[in-house]
Amino acid sequence: MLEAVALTVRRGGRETLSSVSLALAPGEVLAVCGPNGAGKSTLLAALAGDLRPACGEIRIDGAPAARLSAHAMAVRRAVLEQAPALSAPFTARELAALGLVSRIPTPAEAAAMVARALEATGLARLADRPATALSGGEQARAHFARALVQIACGRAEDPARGGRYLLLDEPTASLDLARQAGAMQAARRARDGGVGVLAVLHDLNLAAAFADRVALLAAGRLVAVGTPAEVLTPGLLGEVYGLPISVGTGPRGGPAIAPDFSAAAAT
Amino acid sequence: MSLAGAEGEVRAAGAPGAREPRTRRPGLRVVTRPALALAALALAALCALLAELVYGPVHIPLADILAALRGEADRATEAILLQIRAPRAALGVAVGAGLALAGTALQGVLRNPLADPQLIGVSAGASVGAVAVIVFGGGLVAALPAGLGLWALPAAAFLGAAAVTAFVFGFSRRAGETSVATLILAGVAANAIAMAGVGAMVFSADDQQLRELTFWTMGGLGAAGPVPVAVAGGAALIAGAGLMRMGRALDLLQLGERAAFHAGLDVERAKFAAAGWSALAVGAVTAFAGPIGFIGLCAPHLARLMVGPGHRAVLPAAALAGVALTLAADLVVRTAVPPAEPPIGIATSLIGGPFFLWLLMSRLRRSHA
Repeated sequence: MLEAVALTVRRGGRETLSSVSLALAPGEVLAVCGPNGAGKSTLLAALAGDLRPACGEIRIDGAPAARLSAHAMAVRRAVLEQAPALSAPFTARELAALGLVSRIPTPAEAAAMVARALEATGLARLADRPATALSGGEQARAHFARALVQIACGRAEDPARGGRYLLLDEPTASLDLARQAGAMQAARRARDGGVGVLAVLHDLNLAAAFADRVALLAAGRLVAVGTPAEVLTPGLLGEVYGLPISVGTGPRGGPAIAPDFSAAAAT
Repeated sequence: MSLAGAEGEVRAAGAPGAREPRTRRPGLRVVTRPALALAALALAALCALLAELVYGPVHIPLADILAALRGEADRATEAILLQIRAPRAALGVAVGAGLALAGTALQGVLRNPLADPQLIGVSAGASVGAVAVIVFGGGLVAALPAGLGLWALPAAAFLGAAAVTAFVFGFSRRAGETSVATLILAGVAANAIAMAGVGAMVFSADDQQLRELTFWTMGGLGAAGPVPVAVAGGAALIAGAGLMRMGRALDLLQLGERAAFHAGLDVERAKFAAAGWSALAVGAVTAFAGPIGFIGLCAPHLARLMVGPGHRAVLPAAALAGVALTLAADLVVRTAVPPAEPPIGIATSLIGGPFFLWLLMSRLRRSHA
């Protein structure tokens, strides 16, 4: 389990997370939803080990994350930032290869690992173009491939504890509808391989369609966590987002969320 | 990077395509097979080294150099080679490799292609340390045992270089990425403060010291003797070995410090190592060759142009390019108006200054586009 235990985070004098407890299990997709400023990205950053919490702690499979080295953390979890930066014209293949967090016995094995990740993200044909000449969505996929390489590499180094968690901060942000689905399907494939995937999502319908569990945050607090059907209800959503939201039935029987935008209070 | 070298076609980056705001547009990329490019650079460095030995006020043909290696040359030739040209060439190698590797590391850590040990004031910091030892350190050096006194100059230069590097890194810490303008302005400030320090010490120096100090305005390889070469070369070698191992760390830092941590890099330790090794390299070569500009700027760019952005290839390529550039510049100043020897800094600045201006203008055009 990747756990936040009674986590409180203060940033610039403000409490951005207040006593949040949440656990991500291997083999599930957990969507973290909530309005702007709810603390979604802060929670992800804390789980990634980026922040020093004011209270509480992060545990990875029982071990306090604060005591693990950067390398030990990287073996256990991979992170995809919301707007990954890149200040060198690496090719997509070179970029994905940066996910090789531990020594792979042979260069051929390492190359195969990278090739599989590029294949999984649909970048095989663009692998040798400089990432800076790729579109925004293709670049995002190249960084996703890097995270997949890191997961595979973590498993190779430590089959018992390695490569178990994948943290995605708005993985669908710059993608069109079909590619949003593609990214979430890739996340599900990782889940099917036993990886616990946490994804910060703005789109509630994506959460409904792809998540096993949804955590709803508002103003730094965990409002609800459970299956999409349990959490994505008109009552909870209306309260959290501050506008009427109706929930119908989607094409595959899951919840379909439709906000009533025209009823939103003018700000 | 080993994975990228599989194909050898000539490739130009920067093809049309959507550009993300946080991503820099790639420069021209000429060669993609790093081994070939490294061999070409090694050949260039070797040619510069041989030219440094052959040409000068006295022309020594290659055959005579080979004879000298076998101990069969006449005494005059041997003396020129062993006492003048070989130490000078060796100091040039240390200077070129040391400055180029330090420049590569600084550019990589700061994620800023305009970082250069001289431009951001690291060389000036080293100068302050060295000048302080020359002006005030006479008594101190005399008091130390002979072996230690020798190290006072490079040690002081290292401390000066380390202080400025720490200042510049601290300056860039908050945002993780320094803007070009911030970095250059920090460099202007660091250079101004360091030069004021040098000026104050020059003002209080006596005539004998003054003659030594003119050297600190431009730099040169004229002070090469067996001892300076051994000290500068040794320190540059140690720092170079340390920096050569930072290829993956520098690659990861191109993702930003947070993502580098996510990928398993101990960011603070990597930055500390890069700063320490760079300060050691710059301090050691500046202590004996003075502040030599633009090698640390031009060599990494030349290297990236030839081997692509992967630092495991860029580091050795930059070291070789730095050696070739430094020795070529020294050859130019030695043979331009013989027997006078203008400072090498004039040649490197004449090439590097316009190059820097071109880089700066292309950056500005880009950010306004």
